[in-house]
Amino acid sequence: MADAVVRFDRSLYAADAVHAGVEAFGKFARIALSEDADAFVLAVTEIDPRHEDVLVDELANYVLAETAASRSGGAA
Amino acid sequence: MSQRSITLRRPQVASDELAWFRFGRIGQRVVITNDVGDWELLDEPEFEDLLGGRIDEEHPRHAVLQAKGFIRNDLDVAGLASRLRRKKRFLGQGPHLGIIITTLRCNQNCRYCHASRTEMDRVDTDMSLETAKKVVDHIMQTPSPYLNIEFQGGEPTVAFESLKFIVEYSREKNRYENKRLEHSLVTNMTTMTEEMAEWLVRNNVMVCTSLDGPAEVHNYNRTWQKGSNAYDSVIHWIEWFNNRYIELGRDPRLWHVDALMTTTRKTIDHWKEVIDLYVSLGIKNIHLRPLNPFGFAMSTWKRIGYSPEEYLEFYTNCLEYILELNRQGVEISEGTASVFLMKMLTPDDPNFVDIRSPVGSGTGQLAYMYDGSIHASDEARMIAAMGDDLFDLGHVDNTTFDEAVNHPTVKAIAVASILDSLPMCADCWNAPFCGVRPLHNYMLQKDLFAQRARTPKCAEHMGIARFLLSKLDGDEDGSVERIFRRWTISRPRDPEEGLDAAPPVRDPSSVESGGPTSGHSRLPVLE
Amino acid sequence: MSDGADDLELVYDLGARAVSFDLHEELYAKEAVYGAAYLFVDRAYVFLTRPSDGHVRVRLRSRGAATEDQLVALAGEFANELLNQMVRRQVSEATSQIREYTLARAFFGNDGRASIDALLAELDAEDLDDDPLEIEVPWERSGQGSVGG
Repeated sequence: MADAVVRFDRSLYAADAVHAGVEAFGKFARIALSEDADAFVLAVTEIDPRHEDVLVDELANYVLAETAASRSGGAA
Repeated sequence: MSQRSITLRRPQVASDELAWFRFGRIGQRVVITNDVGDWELLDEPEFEDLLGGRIDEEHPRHAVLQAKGFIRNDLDVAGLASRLRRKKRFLGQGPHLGIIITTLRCNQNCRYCHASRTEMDRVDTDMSLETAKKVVDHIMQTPSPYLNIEFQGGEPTVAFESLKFIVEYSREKNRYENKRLEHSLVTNMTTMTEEMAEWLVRNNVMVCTSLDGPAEVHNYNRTWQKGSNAYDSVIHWIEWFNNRYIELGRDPRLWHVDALMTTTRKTIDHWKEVIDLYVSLGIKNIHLRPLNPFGFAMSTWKRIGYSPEEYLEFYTNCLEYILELNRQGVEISEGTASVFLMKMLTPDDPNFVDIRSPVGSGTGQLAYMYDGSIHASDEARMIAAMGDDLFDLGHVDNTTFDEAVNHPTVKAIAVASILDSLPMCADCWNAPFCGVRPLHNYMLQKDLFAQRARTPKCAEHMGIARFLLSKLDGDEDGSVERIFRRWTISRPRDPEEGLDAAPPVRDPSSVESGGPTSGHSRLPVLE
Repeated sequence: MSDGADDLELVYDLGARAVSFDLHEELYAKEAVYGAAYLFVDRAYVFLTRPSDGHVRVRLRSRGAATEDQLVALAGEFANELLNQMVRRQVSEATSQIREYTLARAFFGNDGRASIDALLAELDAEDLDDDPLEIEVPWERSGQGSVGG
């Protein structure tokens, strides 16, 4: 997979989850985090060739799961 | 790109008519559960009737749903509270399982060894008697009225003098601690001698061994020295112990060797032979266990591992066969199923440290390494042996019992395993029966909490619970329930049966330890 | 409808390896969307975007090649889970006070300690020897239930 830019909408994704995703996947690619008014923007380059087919999708899943865990869990 | 649509039928929810429950689906049925472990399987229209507040006294499911506390009318809150207290009575009792690793030395080289054994000449990994005394003094401070001291290794019989000292000293100490005190030994049997065996029998130390299946499977999984046959050894000693208990007039249902098997890829191909072997040896309980992500198993996974789906297929094949054997009158149960069934069919929780909420690490068990270091569980000490001290709780030289069990790490593990507070688990119908494994999560995802949908334990526990409830659901003549209820019976042994007066306690400085061996994991602890 | 149920029409786009739903937050609470999405991360790649204010777009992309039937099935499973999440939230909101009261009474009631002692005494008194078939458990004797918990 070529380099990619992923936009995580601020109203849908938690900042902590995005940071956790950058940390968890940082060893498999260069991931630059920037922010604009609406989104956390990840520029993903130099992806480990062994994981290039799935890395961006797995990263997005990870960030979503971390967000969901912080926002939906612990129902009484 | 094309556009499609789905029509969702959103049921009416009669807020004033419901009591609290979780729900999910097993095939075409809706399963509902509550905090005390009551459950019921409903057809879709019945579930809609429940949600819609249409379960009146004329409704065919009224009696059962009302009795189990799923509807609000005449809800017996006091009764539910009382049953919940009983179900959770392990809370606040403190550790009831004290694992003592008397040595790391082992003569076997198992492909999946979780315990990170050392070579036989590494006597520096034996526990000294001075340390053993401090360990006993430490664990016996537990407020739990029941304590099982379990010897693990390495191969504990290699350091048999330490084991004997711990048994004798703890029993002496218990004359004033007055706990229900039991001892158990996890051994590969390969260094067992008649003298040791006789001492173990006479001192009521329960013996648990590994039996992975027929010779081909057992010897493949559990490599021993060249020219030796680990399978022959374990079979010989199982028969020796079981015969000896009978000779001494002990009830064989209470006094017998327990055996555990660890599933590798090779086991999966031989599942039926494994069960037939256990039956032929007269073993009444087989505890099917998947590989754990610890120790050597991490590096050999590609050769001996399998997917959660493959394990579940293996497990359900085994359970179907075990059920069939029960129907034919053969008395054999399966360990993990028994834990779930006790939660599903009885008012109690078996307090099995690996499947409870919160998990037992630090709150239900403590593990003491040969050097006196204290760990939250046997898994924690396995992680420590891999070079990660995150779950270390201190050392018997400088950490009090209270400091160990109130350690921030113990609290973190508890928080990460209380199902009511975990995403996905909090809503899951399986929550009253299930338990998560933060240390597994840590090993697999470097995160105590992990992402539940991706954990093999979640897949395993959901599959097992689904299978058991499906069997009970289709049980028109009650035969399955009768078999399952038998599996939930836990007969207490008298830990002092046949013992003479209090044994003499030797001076720790006068005895040296020595001897050969393998290690593995834990017995089910049924309180 | 006579039983109070109502129907929701859920439209989705079917693409090469993905299905996408546009969900209005007034009908589908964000927490329900998260709850459903969380359960699908092991089966599909899930990504959320905002096509417009008040709407969440959920894209589920298959982990490998998928037939149209498989994608339609995936969409159906997600839709069902979304509905489950909505019902769960309703049940939870309607009953959380009862649950909290029950938990408080179980663990913080004045009679807690005494009741545990009574239970332990009851357990000690139970005698399995009277049960040759080994199918009876104490719970049944106290008349608290049968199969199913």
